[in-house]
Amino acid sequence: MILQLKDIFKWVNSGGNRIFLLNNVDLTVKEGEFISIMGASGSGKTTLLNVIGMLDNFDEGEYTFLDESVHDLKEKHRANLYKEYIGFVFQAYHLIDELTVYENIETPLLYKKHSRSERKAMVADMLDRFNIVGKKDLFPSQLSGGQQQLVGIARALISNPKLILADEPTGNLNSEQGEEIMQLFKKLNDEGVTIIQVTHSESNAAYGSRTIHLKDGMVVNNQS
Amino acid sequence: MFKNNLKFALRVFSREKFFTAINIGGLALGFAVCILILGYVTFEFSYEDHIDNKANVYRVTTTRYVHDKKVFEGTKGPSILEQIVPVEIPNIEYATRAYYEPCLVRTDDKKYAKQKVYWVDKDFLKVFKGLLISGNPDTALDAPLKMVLTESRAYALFGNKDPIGKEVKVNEGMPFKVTGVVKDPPLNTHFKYEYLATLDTWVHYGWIQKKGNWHWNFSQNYISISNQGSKDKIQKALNNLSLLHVNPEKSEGKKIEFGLQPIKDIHLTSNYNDELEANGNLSQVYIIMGVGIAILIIVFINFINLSTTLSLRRSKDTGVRKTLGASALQLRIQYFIEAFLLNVTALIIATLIVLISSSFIESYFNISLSFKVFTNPLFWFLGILIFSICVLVVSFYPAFVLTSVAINTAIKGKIVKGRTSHAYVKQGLLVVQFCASIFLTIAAYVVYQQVDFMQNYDLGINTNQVLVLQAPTSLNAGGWRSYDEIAIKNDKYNVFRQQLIQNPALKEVASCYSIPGEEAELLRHSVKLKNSGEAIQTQVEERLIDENFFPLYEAKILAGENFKIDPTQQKIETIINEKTLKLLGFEHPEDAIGQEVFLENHLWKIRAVVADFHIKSLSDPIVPTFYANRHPFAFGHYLVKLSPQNLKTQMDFIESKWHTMYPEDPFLAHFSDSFFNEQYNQYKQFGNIFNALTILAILIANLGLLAMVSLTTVENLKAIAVRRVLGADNKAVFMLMSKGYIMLIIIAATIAIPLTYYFLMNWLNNFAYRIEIQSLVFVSAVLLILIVAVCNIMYYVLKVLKLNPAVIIREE
Repeated sequence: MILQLKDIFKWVNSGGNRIFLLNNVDLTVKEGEFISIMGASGSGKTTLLNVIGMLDNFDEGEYTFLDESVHDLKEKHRANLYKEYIGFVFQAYHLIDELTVYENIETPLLYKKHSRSERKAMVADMLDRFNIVGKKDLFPSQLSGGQQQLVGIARALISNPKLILADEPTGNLNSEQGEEIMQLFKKLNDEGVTIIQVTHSESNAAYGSRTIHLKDGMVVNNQS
Repeated sequence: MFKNNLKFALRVFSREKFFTAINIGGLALGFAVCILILGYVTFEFSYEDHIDNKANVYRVTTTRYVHDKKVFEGTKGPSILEQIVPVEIPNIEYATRAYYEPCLVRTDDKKYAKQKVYWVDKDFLKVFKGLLISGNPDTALDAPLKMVLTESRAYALFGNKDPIGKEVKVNEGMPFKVTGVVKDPPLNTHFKYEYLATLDTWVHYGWIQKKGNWHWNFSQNYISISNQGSKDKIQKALNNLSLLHVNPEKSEGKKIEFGLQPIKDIHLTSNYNDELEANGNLSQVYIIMGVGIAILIIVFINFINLSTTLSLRRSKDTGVRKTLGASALQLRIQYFIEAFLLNVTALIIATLIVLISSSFIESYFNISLSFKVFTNPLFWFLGILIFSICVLVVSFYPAFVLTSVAINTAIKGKIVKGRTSHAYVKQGLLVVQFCASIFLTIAAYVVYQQVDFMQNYDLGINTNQVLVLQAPTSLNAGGWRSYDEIAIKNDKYNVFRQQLIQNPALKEVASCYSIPGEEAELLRHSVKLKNSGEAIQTQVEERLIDENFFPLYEAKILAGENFKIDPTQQKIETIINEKTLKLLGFEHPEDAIGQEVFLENHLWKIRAVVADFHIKSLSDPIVPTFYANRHPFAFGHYLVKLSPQNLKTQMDFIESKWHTMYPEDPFLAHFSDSFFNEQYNQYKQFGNIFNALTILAILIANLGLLAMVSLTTVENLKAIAVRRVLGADNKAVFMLMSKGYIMLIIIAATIAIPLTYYFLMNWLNNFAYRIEIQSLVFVSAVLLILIVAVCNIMYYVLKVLKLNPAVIIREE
């Protein structure tokens, strides 16, 4: 088991009413799973993903990540935790515009104590694996959307995370590019990486081993 | 890691070219101004550095009290001090008198007029150590007719030949032997000698007694004290001597005190009677330093505001980096590196600006800059430390804002805005900036007004087209009682005058000792009406003129008759001004005519009363003055009133007459009005510096404002677009964009105006004649700042109005 959410509530107060963003969510994720979160706009998919990724807080409930109680942890420890074990992939790629492909992939390593030569070897390995060696000196604006997302995934994978969180990774891509990215996720999952993705599309969800449907912050069903 | 930081910083700069340029440009200008001000201040504080034992050299000043009220502060002291104090007061090593005279200096083939000759005693070179280049300090000035001159004067007179042992003639022809050469005086000394001649020469010619006395203050006195000596003890000992020898006068409530002035302090703190040159002004230096600091604050505020707003544009980048595992510290380091890079670049550009502009600035503002602090390692240590602290401080806030944005918000890539605490900080800083701009604008205008007021004030005399000639120095008489010698000079003058007056273009010719704008030749400290017998203890001036002086300067005689008689004989008649009239207690000018007055020991009969006029600058009040009808026995000036047309022809005519009449003396002429206005140089210089700094400060502040408006416009683009879709017209858009800034300016004005008023009242109190501050000045300054700000905003309003609001809304 990689993480477990227990009775998670998250809300905002608006005009005296409490609006629940997450309402009594329970979720257990085992290592090697590929989970898809689906639901309508505003159903709390991204919020759930952010809570899992520790980018966002929740108001009530318990969250255990690799036997650590996240709800008891201080901000700094939490940051250390996701820094170590989680990789993020964004719908809008979120590459850093001022950095080249090579540098973008290298960035997470800069925040961990890796030597220069180590970094070089790891990034080279990653470029090789994704077949983008030729593009390593280009800037994000010089790449197509699919290529940018490839770099985004490479960057998420560089520090060998146990878990990849992907927020509509194909949302900005055409269907062909989207297909490629999903194939890649499938492959990574086969290699043992745990993946949680948020998606709108049934066909993308089909790549996963399990789909969670959200509605108004509640888990509607939990099918395998 | 560091390399990555650096690389990233450079790429950010190249993306935000416009704002980076404004940021660096503003910083560079500000730093350059601060470096230049540093140079100015260093120079002003570096006076007398060329003297080896500068810390131990003092000038003895004289302060007069009447019934414990200070009535006079002078740089001169009793002529006996030099002989008595080294003997009687322990720890005084040497003492010397110094008397300044602009003299005529000649060799067989060269002659130079108005040379800076100081008459000094034998120990002069021991009081002022380190000046002598060649010659023996023990014997160079130990006898009459010995002279030491500066390197450049020696070169002017003798070329490359060794000057030692050569003969030099002074004034009427006193033959001096050159016994030594001294260093040229630097610019930063109050004592700008060219020749040092022995005072014993005067004894040799019988003009003065060898032994000085306690009541004759004709010269400055300088002493050097030993390292064991304490200033306070010596000052006490001096005043004990004064009690013993001078203060028996105390019976009439008079008291004289001696003070010790460290020579290093003379330039900035001394503003006594008989200064050797117009000194600087400490508060002026402080004010300019203050403006420098204000500019630095404006520049840093620009930096903080621009950087903070820009950093929010980078919030997405920050958020992403956080998800990639960057800690807040790591992000801040990135930010500090960028801040340092910007500031260091600005500093380098500033240094270049200073290198290029410093000589122009020196000549334009008539100031000197000194950058010798740059050779001091301590300066570098402190400078780098302070610079780093400044950069850290000003970049701390933007860095803090940058990293404190929640990842969630940040990742959405939105610019964070609205009524956050950051907005308040930004507005607060802008208020400070507007305050500084308003303060400087008002102050600069009032300073300009005051200087202008002084220069154009009706003096009560007409100094226009009055040509001032230096009277023939070669005909100097030994003293004012050498009647035969004076008669020769006067006869020649009368012939010269007749020749000039025959030219119909020349309206009038007169003679006098000192001209308007110069100190009076004689100061008296006691006045007594013969009838009432009551002695008035105060300071009055005595000036020597002839019967043509008042007509030439168009001064009004209120009662009595102008001088008429032949001015060579000793006179007992005087003309007084209105201030003297009041002093003596007369109500009407007519009442004073024929009254007899003791001026110290001399009895005078009042012949006429002249209307008050300003003979010195408007920073000094008009002083009670007695005019005596005497031809200048030595030096002095001849005055010629010209017609306004063809000045050149008239001057050529005068010069040709001069050369035939006075073949020994060079023709030296200047205009009376421009000489008079030189008194305002100090204020003009201050006004010019102040104005230039103000313009720069406003320019820099405006640069920042421009950038800020541009950034907030981007932030508010959607709000504006929505309002336009809902039907807001152009005026409403303008109001929406500008009302925030207008509020800030109003707040700033309420803070700045009282401060400015207080500061200006203080400054104006330095002047005996001053303008009143008009409220209109405050209103127009605020309006000016407002208009400039509104123009900035207008530019962006017009830009926004060109955009299609529908497109903006869709993009969001």
